[in-house]
Amino acid sequence: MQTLERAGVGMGDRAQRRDVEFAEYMHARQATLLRTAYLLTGDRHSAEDLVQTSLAKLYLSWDKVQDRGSIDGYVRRILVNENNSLWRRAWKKREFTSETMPERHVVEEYDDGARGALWDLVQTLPRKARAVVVLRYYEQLSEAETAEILGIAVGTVKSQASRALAALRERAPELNPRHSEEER
Amino acid sequence: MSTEHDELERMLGRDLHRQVDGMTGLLGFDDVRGRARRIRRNRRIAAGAGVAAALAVIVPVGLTVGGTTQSKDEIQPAPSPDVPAVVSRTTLTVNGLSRGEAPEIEYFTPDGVVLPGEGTQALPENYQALVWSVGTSSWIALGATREEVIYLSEDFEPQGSSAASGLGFATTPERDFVAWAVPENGSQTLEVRSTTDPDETTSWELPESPVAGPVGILGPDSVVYETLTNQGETRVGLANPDGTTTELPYIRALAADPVNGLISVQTESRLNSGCFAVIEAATLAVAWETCDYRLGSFSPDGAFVMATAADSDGLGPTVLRVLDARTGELVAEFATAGRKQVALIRPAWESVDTIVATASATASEGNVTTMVRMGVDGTLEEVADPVDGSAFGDVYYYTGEDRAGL
Repeated sequence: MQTLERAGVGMGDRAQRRDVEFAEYMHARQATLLRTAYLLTGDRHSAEDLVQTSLAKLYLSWDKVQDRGSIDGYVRRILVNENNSLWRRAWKKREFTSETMPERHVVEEYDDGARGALWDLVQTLPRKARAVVVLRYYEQLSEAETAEILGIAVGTVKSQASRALAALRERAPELNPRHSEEER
Repeated sequence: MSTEHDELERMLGRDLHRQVDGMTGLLGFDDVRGRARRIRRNRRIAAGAGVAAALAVIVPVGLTVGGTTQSKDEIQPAPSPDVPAVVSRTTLTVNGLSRGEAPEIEYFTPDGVVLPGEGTQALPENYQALVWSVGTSSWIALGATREEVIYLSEDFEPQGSSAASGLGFATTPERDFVAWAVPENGSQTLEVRSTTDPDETTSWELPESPVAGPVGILGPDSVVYETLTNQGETRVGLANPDGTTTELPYIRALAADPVNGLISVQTESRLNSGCFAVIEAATLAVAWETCDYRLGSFSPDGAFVMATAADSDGLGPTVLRVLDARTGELVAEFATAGRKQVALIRPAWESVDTIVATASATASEGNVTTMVRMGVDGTLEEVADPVDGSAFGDVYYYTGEDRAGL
């Protein structure tokens, strides 16, 4: 709480209230945002950087977001758009748009063998398709909600998601449920 | 009924969750607020650069010792701004004003400095001006006595200081350059510091005496300065990086406009009044002059110059006028009605078409001090919480000295 007290030094009530509100929101939602950011970026360092920038931009707009219930959607939009921005793409060392598979994670003992396989494939998707996959299948957002966050048409979300799933099936046929049944 | 498509979606969801379950964040509020500060500052710098780029009228002045111009033919006058055809006249008051957005420039209170979007930041001491240096992620502050420039960390921790002459602390409209005079063992230099590129900082020699200080920065090659003798006489000059200077035949310099290469000066002194002029820095020709108005600083795009009544009673301007910088024509006027008095303290250009100032009212107006925003279209609104205190008391709010125009 030292941080909040420091934030309040010399501030008017309004500014102090804003900082307290924001800090509470940040504390409550930071982990969720970091998880989404990790799935979007693929590495912890970039994810933390992305969350910090997104929260900073949210902080600058905090007074403008009148509907507190819409903050999650608002910050999610900042997160995705920031990740997709040209600047960040240029800055990023890695860009997972190639056909080459990234190195597989270590499979842990309790893994059924498929753990991480889909994740590895997700990382090969183009950035925007990957954002659709993360929002639809991790965040469990509807097509309409995903479209709104990404600023694209619902039809585009449908086609992007469909293409992404097709690509995953094509690149890893062993993950196709029908394939698994046929093998049995 | 489950389809293979649905099953793959479920597997995908499960796998993504497995990757991140249990992941927690470690960011602190200060981390995020610090990043927000940097973003805001960089946005402001980008916005300032954008204005300059859009106008594309920054003029290389290129003056030499003799006052002749090296690039006279290259001077491209700015296109005439779209000046409103109708002069707006607004009653200056602190009562019944609508509340506007907080100022987009920093200002000071007894609690510290109020930064746009960041609220009040405590300072180690009072300063007369505070400039963000994006190139070094630090602050440059003018001390309370104006005889010291203090270097501060991003979090306002003093890191060092240098002497200043006590006269003048000038910045460009985009605040990409800041200048002050440094007295050194019988000589003095002009420190011209880039806030974007530390390597661009230069020291220009000034005459040994009298004591000097910058009034305005015309460009990387020319700074307008004033000198003050022990007898209280002021003179005006132009300084160049090679140490040469050009004395101008004026009593005072009020401000400089790097966009159109203009300088506002006082040409004549009369009892409690005087005559003023806007001159073109490249030719030193008088663009227009007036004995009706006391001139102040130019708007960031050089389109307007602020002014007040030529006579002064020391209370502070009780009328503020906005004039066309190229012609001197009146564009807007803010004046109190009847015998009521509201003094304006340190009016400063906030944007190309708004001015913010401390407005301090005498008893007839309620002994209130607040901050107001005045638009060149005649709009007037309050932009800070009013506090008790008249124009005769301590100033509660004040803008940075380098921004103040009158």
